[in-house]
Amino acid sequence: MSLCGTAIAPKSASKQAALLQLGDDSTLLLVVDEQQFSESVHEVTLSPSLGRIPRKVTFSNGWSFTADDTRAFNAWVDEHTQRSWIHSLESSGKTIIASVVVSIVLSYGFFIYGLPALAVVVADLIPVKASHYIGENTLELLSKSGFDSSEIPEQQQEKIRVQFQALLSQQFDSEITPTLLFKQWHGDANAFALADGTIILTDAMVELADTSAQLDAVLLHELGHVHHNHILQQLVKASMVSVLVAYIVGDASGVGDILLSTAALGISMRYSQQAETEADQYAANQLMLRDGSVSAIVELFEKLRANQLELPSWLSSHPDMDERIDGILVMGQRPSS
Amino acid sequence: MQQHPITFKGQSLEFFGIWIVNIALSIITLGIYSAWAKVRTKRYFYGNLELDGDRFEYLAVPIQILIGRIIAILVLIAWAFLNNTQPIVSAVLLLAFVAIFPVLAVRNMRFDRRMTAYRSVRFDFVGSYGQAYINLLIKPFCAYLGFAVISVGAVALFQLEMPWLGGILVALALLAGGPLLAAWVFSGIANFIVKNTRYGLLAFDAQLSAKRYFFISLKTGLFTMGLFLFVMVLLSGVAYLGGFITQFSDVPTSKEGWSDALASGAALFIVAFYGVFFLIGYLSNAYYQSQVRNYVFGETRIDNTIQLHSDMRTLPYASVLFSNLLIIIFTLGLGFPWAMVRQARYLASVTALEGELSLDHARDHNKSQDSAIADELSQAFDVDIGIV
Repeated sequence: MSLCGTAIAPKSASKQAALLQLGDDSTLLLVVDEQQFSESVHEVTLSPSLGRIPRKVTFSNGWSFTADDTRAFNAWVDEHTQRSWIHSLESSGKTIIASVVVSIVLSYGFFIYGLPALAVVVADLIPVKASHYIGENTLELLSKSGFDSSEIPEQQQEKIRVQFQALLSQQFDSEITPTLLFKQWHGDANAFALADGTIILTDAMVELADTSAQLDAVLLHELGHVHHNHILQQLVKASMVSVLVAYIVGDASGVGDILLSTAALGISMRYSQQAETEADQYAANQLMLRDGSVSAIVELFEKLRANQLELPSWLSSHPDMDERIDGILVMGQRPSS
Repeated sequence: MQQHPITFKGQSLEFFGIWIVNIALSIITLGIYSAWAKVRTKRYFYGNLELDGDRFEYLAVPIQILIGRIIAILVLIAWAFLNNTQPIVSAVLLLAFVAIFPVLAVRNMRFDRRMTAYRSVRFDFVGSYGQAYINLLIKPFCAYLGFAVISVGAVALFQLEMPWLGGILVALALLAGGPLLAAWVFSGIANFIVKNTRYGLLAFDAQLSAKRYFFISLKTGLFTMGLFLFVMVLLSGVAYLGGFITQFSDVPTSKEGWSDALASGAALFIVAFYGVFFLIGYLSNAYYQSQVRNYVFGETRIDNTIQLHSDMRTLPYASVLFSNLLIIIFTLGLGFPWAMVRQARYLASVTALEGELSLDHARDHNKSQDSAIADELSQAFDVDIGIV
């Protein structure tokens, strides 16, 4: 069989009509410009097979040839060379459908299970020294963003510290020794845990949690974050999500930028809600062990619910308060062994 | 003069298979295959671009991309982590990144062009780092500085209780100063890119003027304002009618009744306002991009014999962009390859070359390949620079 086409001289762009003879013994003979080159199909360089793009054959002396009848030449090459496995995968209906399923399932699974699990491993690898450093930095940042010194009398602070130490001595096991700080933050009832185990109580929160059991519930919730190493894990997750999104967006060339950023925010919110639920469970467990009841934490959450303006749960870093209370009540009903 | 159109021969369904199989392989190999996937995607889009019977070629080897990608990912992880923990260090790093940005841009453009071939002859980029620093860093910096000086001057005049003069200065800064400085910077960058591009040893050339860039900005401003006014008038009418119709059951008899009717119209107005604002942004962006592309291509010659030509129109381009966005949203991302093929097909369809394309005297530059590190870094940080 012989095919008409165009040949291009080595390292130049001048093209000329040429003839390629395809031998039965897999040899290619290029006739161009009153010259002839012959080579086996295994010696020449063939451009990779991809979609229906015409294959280009380049002889070892640099002459290249493209056939006019690209389909005939592509078919001949397929017949006489080993078919590329990736091209077969890309053009088979079965592997395409399988790929759709695999891609959807695995990416969903990765964001729901894989990335959080990976974050736990990575966060545990971060040395304690680094978490101290991060904790101090966060505290500094928070101070700039409107932390005021506490107005709780020294006596009451001391009492709460003693209570906090009692909680620690009971069953808190972690590399980090948590410390307690009192601050004011725009008059909001809130508590924070930092990477180095620093726990911050706002004055409004101390006021809100008016029984010592309720205060224990707040402290235990924050200790739950420390116990699970949540703060470092969130940092690692946030870093991983931004790396992934940056990479995906980099490929999207502007079209899906906003969509993907929104998705990244949604994913982070989901992770944060999971952490809150875990901390709730930790606090409820500890209270159950000690008092045989979770009523302290439920009372506290009911007060918080009455106090706060709620965001829809998909927009919030914390789960819906009703859900949180229900979750804890379920734990309280479990027979404590 | 003979005109040679550029055509894109890719098919969405065919590319969908290639795209999804490569994504699945990338996921299964924990991202390692993504370098091969990138090369296949690029090869698909270059290899389906036809000019005068011949296809373009993408020559990069996956291993190059993989090495570049690994380095870029390490930098990106470090940056993301520092950004979450050490804002000061990350700010310093960002400054360092800005300082080496021109070098990255040059290496990025050089890599992209050397990996692109047509008829066995590779493209090249010969811009010097010095020129890159002037055009990509120093001139933009001066422009910002100039703008800051005007703004500070305006604020000072306000404080000197000369609000009238200050107002004029602000208006002048926004309407003339900003666009003029931007035109000066953008035309400089475009000249730098075009003049330093080579096809083999043949030079690209263009004389792009800041004046024309300024006019394009001005026209875009007028276009946007016109569109905005038109839509406002239209919306007010709709809102007024809407409010009127909802109140129609009891036709307002008092003054209060009428203002209620107008208020309920106002709610509708606000909702429509956001949607329309988004659309105006799309149209205005499409207008600017088509104008700039048509201008730059219209001024570009290869070897003084081949003339580039672009005939992009606002409405078709905006509708391609907007329908692509809808495709991606409603297929939850699975329609991405379809959108890519549509965009490539549109851009090819409005591009042509005029002149003798036998190219008998075009010779390859025989230069070595580059590493893909700068290429991948620019992609990771989304700082690819382009003419349009």
